[in-house]
Amino acid sequence: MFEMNFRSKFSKMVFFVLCCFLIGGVFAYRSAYSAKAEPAKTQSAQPVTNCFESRVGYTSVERVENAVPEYGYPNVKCSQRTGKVVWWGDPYDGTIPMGEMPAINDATKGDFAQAVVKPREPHLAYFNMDPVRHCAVCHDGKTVPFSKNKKPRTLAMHQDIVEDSLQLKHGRGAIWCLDCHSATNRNKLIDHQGNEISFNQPQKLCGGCHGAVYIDWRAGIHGKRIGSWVTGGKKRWWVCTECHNPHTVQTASYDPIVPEPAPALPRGMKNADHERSEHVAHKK
Amino acid sequence: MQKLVSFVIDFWSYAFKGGPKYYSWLLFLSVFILVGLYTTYLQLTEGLILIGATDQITWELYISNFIFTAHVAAAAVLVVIPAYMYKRKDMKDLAVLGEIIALGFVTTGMVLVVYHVGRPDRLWHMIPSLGYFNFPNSMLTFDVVVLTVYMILNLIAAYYLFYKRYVGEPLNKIFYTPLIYVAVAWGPLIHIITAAVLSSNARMHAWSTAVLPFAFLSMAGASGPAVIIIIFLIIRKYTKLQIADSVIDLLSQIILWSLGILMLVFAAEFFTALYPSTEHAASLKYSMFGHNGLNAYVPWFWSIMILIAGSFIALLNPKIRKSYDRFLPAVCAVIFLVILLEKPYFLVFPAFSPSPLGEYTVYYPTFVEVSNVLFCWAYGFLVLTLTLKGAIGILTGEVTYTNRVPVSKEAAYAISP
Repeated sequence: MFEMNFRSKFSKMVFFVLCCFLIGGVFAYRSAYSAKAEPAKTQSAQPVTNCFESRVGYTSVERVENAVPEYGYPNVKCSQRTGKVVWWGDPYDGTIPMGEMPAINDATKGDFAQAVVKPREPHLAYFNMDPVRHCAVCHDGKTVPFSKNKKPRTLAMHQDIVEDSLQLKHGRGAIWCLDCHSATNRNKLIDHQGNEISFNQPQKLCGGCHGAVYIDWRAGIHGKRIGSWVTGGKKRWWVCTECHNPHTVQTASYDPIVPEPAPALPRGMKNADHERSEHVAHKK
Repeated sequence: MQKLVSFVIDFWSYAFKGGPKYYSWLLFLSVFILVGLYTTYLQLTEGLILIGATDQITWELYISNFIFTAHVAAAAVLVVIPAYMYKRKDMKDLAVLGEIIALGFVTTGMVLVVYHVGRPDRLWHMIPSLGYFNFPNSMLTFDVVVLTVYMILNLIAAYYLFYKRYVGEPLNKIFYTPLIYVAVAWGPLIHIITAAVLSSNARMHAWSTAVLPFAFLSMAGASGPAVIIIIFLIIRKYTKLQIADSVIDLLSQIILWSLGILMLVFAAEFFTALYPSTEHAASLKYSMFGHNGLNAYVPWFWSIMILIAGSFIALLNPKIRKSYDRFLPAVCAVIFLVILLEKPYFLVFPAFSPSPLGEYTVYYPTFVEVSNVLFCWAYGFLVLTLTLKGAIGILTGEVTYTNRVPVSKEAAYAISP
């Protein structure tokens, strides 16, 4: 009798446990299925290879896979929407030392020993028409004679850079091409004291007039830089002309980039309509 | 050693014996444990991405439930205090049940914390000297210390008493009494520290308030005795252990006044936040009235407040307090659930809105998360049930060393009812 009772109880127990397994299995399958299905939606399309760093056409970068073999990183990752570089595999890729910088009593204390920049010269179309002599292939004083003065005159060429040379946008008529470009060495820029400045160091030229923003840039308030955050640490600095077009400052000094799409809503949120409605406090 | 081995065998073999209702309860819990084991596996392999936490709301159901388990664990000392400090005869034997309840809930809480940790395999970093224990800067360090010590204190206190009862020896008062007093002091301490873990966050305006420990302790005083009353009523209905009405009455009185203090604390908090109505009241206003139509937490807030006030008014009536088989357990169940649900839906989730960027968001728990929480609760109740069952065997004198029967199959079945 006792034996029977125990047996029936035991078999009921086993039946119950098996039912539990079945129910658990169904739930587990459901959850596993939903867990697997989710990441598939967010898989990104083909990576963008034709990228730019700050200005379309002026700071082009080609995405190279496995540029940092140590980690298997590409050199850059770019926005699907605009092609803007949003991530660097190696922040110092393709950089050169910033070069001599004047020491003034600012936040940097003139410590630019570790500062690096991406050279501007490879991005300049006319500069690279001749790989050796650069601009001087035409501006050698013979093919194109050196200018006698800095007075505005109509240019025969380079209308793609400055549409109307009699109305240079930069300086509202106060300055002209040869105030910045060396009259005798067109491969260089020139400052107020006649010192030649490389195209890779435009900050030394721009800072001559735009002092306030130059000090901001040195302090790290204006512009972009990546790498070490420490003052004097190894850092890639973006120079003036990487973002600003010096020839069209009045009309298109800085082309705004189309913003990235809004981040995804927090999980489970269907919309953010409550964020759209006007705040009561502001209506007053 | 012989005695100790037979104690362990007898205690746990008694714990696993019971009638059909007992087994169906254990099997009911095992359903959640079986499903939970699989979802636990999912979380351990895939990570916290499977749960509903977002950038905006980073505290999920695990930590919310942990705060509640700390309530009950801390409140279990309310059974010990009358027995040892007020020398109440009717509670002398029951004090150890309070320790068991504390033990059950503190272990549940610790399991919940393990789920809250993204990589539990890195928990060894918290072992002093092996890892970097951020003492005394991190409040979480204090919480780990007090919870672990509380668990160990209760473990020693409870099993020491059981063992001495089992072998029929008197307790060593010089060892036992200080242990009990330390454990009694430690109960509120775990809760004050848990409140400090929250209120130390200056960015969380809803938490960064000096009344938080008072709110927690009064909620502990309400929810702890509520679950203890239910457990005691079940114990005295289904087992031979005698629990006097006076014990239940004392506990319902404690609930009543805890709810009263809780309402005062809430009122003080709401007044202080809402009268100046600065930015610091934004989370509270989000809970109470929603934000531009985003009002997922509004029904929760008002039903929680109404149920707390309603339970208080109900318990003011002596007829309900004395209705041991109908209204009292119902009110206790309501209090237990209300204070449990208050944790995620008022204390934690709405407190994260507005985020530092001003975003208002709603938390959506995932199936894996809910299942893991149910696993923790089922595990906690399973441990609690089995330990209480064994404890009752010891306290009623059914399990003693002298009564010991040789372990054979027939004999083992013979005792089972």
